[in-house]
Amino acid sequence: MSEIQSMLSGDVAEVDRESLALDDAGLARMYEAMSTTRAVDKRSARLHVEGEIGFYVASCGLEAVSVGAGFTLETPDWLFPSHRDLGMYLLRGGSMRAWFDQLFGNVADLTKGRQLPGHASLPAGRFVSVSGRVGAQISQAAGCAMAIKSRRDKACVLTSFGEAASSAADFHAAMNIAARFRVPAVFVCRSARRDIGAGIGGAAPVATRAKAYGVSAARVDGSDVLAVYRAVSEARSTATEGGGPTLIEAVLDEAALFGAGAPAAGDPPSADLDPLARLREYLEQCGIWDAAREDELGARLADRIDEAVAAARAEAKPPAHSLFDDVYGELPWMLQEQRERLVSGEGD
Amino acid sequence: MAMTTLAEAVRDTLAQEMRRDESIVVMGHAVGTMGGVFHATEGLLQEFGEDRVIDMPLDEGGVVGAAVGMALYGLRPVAEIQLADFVYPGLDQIISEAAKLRYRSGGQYRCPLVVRIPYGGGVGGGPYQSQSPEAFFTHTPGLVVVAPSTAADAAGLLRTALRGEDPVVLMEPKALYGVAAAAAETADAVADDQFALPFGVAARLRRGDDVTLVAYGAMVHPAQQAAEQAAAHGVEVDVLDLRTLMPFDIGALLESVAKTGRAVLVQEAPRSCGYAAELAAVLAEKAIFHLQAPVLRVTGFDTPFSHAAEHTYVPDSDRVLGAIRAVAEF
Amino acid sequence: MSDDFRLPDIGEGLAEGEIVKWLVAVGDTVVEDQPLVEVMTDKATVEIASPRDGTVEALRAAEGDIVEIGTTILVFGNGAATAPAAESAAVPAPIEEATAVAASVPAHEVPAAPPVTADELEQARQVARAERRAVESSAVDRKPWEAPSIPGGAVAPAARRLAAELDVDVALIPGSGRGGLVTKADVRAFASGETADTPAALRAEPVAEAVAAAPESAPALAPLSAPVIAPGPPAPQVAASTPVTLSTAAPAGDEERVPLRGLRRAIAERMVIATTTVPHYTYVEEADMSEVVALRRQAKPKATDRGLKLTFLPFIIQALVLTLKDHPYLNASLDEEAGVIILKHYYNIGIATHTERGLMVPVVKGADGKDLLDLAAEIARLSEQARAGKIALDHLRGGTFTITSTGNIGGFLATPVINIPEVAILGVTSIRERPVVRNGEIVIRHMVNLCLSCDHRVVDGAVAALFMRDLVGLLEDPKLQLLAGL
Repeated sequence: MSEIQSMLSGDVAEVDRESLALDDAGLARMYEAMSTTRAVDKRSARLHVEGEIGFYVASCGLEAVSVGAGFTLETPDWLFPSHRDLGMYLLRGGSMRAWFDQLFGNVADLTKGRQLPGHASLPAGRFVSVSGRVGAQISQAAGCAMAIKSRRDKACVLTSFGEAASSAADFHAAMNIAARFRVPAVFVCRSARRDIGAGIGGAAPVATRAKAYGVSAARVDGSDVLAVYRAVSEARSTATEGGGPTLIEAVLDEAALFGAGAPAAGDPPSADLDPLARLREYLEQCGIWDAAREDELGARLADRIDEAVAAARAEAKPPAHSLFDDVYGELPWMLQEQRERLVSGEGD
Repeated sequence: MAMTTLAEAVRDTLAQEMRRDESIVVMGHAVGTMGGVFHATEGLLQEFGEDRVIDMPLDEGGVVGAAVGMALYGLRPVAEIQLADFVYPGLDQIISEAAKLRYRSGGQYRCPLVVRIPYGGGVGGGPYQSQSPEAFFTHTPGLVVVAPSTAADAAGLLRTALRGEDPVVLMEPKALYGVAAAAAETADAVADDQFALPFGVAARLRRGDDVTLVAYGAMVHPAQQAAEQAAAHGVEVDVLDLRTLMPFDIGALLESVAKTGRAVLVQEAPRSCGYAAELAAVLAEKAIFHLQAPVLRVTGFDTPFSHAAEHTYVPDSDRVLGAIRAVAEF
Repeated sequence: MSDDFRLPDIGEGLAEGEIVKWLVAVGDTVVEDQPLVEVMTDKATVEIASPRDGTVEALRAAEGDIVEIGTTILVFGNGAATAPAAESAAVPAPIEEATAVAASVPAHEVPAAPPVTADELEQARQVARAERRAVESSAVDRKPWEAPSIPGGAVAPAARRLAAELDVDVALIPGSGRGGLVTKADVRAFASGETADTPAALRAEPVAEAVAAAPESAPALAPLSAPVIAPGPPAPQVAASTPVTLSTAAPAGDEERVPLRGLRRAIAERMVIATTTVPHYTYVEEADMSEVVALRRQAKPKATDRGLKLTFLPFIIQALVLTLKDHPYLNASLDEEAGVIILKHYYNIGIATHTERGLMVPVVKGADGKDLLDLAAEIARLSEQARAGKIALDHLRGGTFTITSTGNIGGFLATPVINIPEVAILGVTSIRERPVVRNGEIVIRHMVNLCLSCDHRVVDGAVAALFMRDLVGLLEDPKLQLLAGL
């Protein structure tokens, strides 16, 4: 069980395409998605480094997990993501423009500038608003899966989180509930490749803990997008067929996992560990991708990102009085009063 | 004819609403097969099945977290916390998640969650079955916090909560669970499956020009007793049952205190930084020139709840009457 | 704002008032500041104005009723009222996008000529009111969280405490704060001003004031050290009228029954208090007013020039005030509870004035600073106001000594009742020519009997006698007044 599954092990011929149910076009789209994720993330990190935004946690190096997992999902599926799941956000229909609007917290941001940069929300894609507290989403995911099951919905819930969150009470609660009610949930945990017991992880690999709860588990190479994709696909099938929840531990290079604190934030890992490089190499060898397409993609992404950033940057900040909206469905008296005082300049 | 008790009113209202709205589910530890530790969910599992009446593991964080997930999906979960004293593991999901989901998503997501919390002392519960932590919730923007004092009010407030779009914390005064509806009319109110009480509206239980007495939950009853005793001494008391703690009925409060100039506020929770402090601050801000006496609070003490000292701790009508006299004679 | 309009506290010490006349009727639409009703207290008749716009839905008191302060006397109909608690079913409504209140009140255009007639003045007032209402009504209907308007005569809590420490009567202090609020600054200014007034402790206790009993240990009270207002002397409570057997007995003959109301009733109550709590005696001395008579004749043309009638009173007051300066115990008050005799170094002379409704005592403030004609003018003005029933409460309070004169009617000797809380009152009978002995010979002189009633707790007979000797001396030889104070 503790064997880490991988597909892109270097030898093209060994990749079991059959098991993937992905054609060439699909693979190319997957790569594009990863590239887009990388490019947007790098640009976001740059905005932070250059002081245009006040906070950002990069997800560079995690594209295999977010895209690999995200690619398996179907329209009715629900996501309870973390703040490093940009890939999932884009795959679920999130636009670059909306992403940068949220980073700038401008008047066009659908979340009205309320959250720190990088905490996206997308109801149209069932991408649940990302919480500022790591791990809060995990138990919510279990509950949502309970709801799906009780309504005989043919969907599953995917929740993504880092290893740190696997120590949170929510992880425990979710595992317990998910197993107890045999819910259609896939738990994806990004963990670091290290010696057992070292670092911030628990005493045993995260995946082994699942067993204690009665939850199926798998460990995959977190920078191998095809391995992630396959494992999550299987887990999704299991879930939607009533087989219950699965915990997938995506094991990554430590530098990739803690990218934000790594030597140069947002720098990609070395080629042998870089999920983009690994897939691209495979695609090139299969004749699905080439340098020309790479350049074209790069240029296209650069343009789109530039445009989105410029537009987002140009927008105004939300008006001060919008501070009071959305606390409740209707404005209660104390917010009316506070708003009036703010607007009138009257003070407290 | 046996009158409906507060606990039964909760149960009956849940049943009525669950018949009306399939999206309502009930969840919590022991709510299903056991019907709830206070029998507030008795019979629901039998009628609605285990998809809608869910026995959850003993994990308040998990109960509320899962409830939030269900609410996001589109259900209307009613999460029962067995006792207020045990709500704290669930506090993060209530305060950081449920209360903030609408706001942080710019209104894209709603969290129509009801958390039912039996609270308060007077039942011999000691420090871990008697707490009144409503102030944690009233201090959290985004939560509606209600506290009924009667079976009818419990039914009316719960129904409004189940038809609304905001997360609601329903503080159920456990000392009153067994108390029957006071009169036939209120029993009818409970039986009426359309009876709903709006949030933010207090009830004036007694009219008087001399002193304003504000209470909620279980404290309404010693408050009323004290008001009657005061009348015998010629002091007429305006008794306000807040019913909703947040947002509270400021119009009723100010109107009454502008008239009487004397206010006594009652809570069984510990004194410092308790809910009544907010009312006192509002009165100091807005009614100071109407006040004829200091605003007094009759409260629990700044100690954990003591089993042996329960009857000293929880305000009774004598203590409330003492405060009424103090402001009346100031 | 409540729909109920309650009889407001017109002035401290007054617990009730009589509804004299309604100025509006049921169904009338009224505007803010419009006079609603005339109410008489034991001192004066006042007009009560409406605190708001609205319609009169009901009148809860009839003309002639005696109503306690705080009782509802009128109910407004549904004007700008907010729904009362427990009846409104509204969940807080979403606020409309902030609609800006009218940017500014339109600049009041100066009319071509200032209003001259009463009609024009009233019209101008209406215009001003309408403008103000236009600005106000463009705001949302009164919101439930708005602080209730500061009640008239409100005193800031700290100011009230300061007033108690400085022993000044808050109710007499004009407020400069918001809505007429009395502030600490107002208290200080008043206390250091010239017209200091009777301390609160000496007022007759209002009926409604509760006696402070020791409260049960309510911990919140502990930090408050001093009570806010010093309790007054235990004046006998003015009892609610106990049924008198006279009214139930069958008439013994032709009778007319006049209800004891208003001023008459107030006088009755006050006289009972004065005569039962103050040990009275009256000391009479005769005074030769011939010199004063001559002076008056000399001064009359000057008075006539100013359109004034010059009576003997101004002369008597001038001599009186000089005498009081040397005899401070007659210009005093006794605070029995505090055990203090308050000697006053200001001279506010009450002039007992007969009016149709009864006796009123307007006060000439600072009489020592006024010359003869000023006094005459002031006396004339005050008595006219009193007779017309238009005198302000402030002019009926604050006296330190009273003169009561029936000289223009007649009288040989009087035993006047002291105007509490003063300690002495001078009764002046009529000046008549009488034969008296001077240097062994009988001559005809203008003589008057001056009758001084005193409070024997404060003023002994000899003290009264000495005072009278000096007073008479100044009247008999007015030029001695020039030497007074030297």
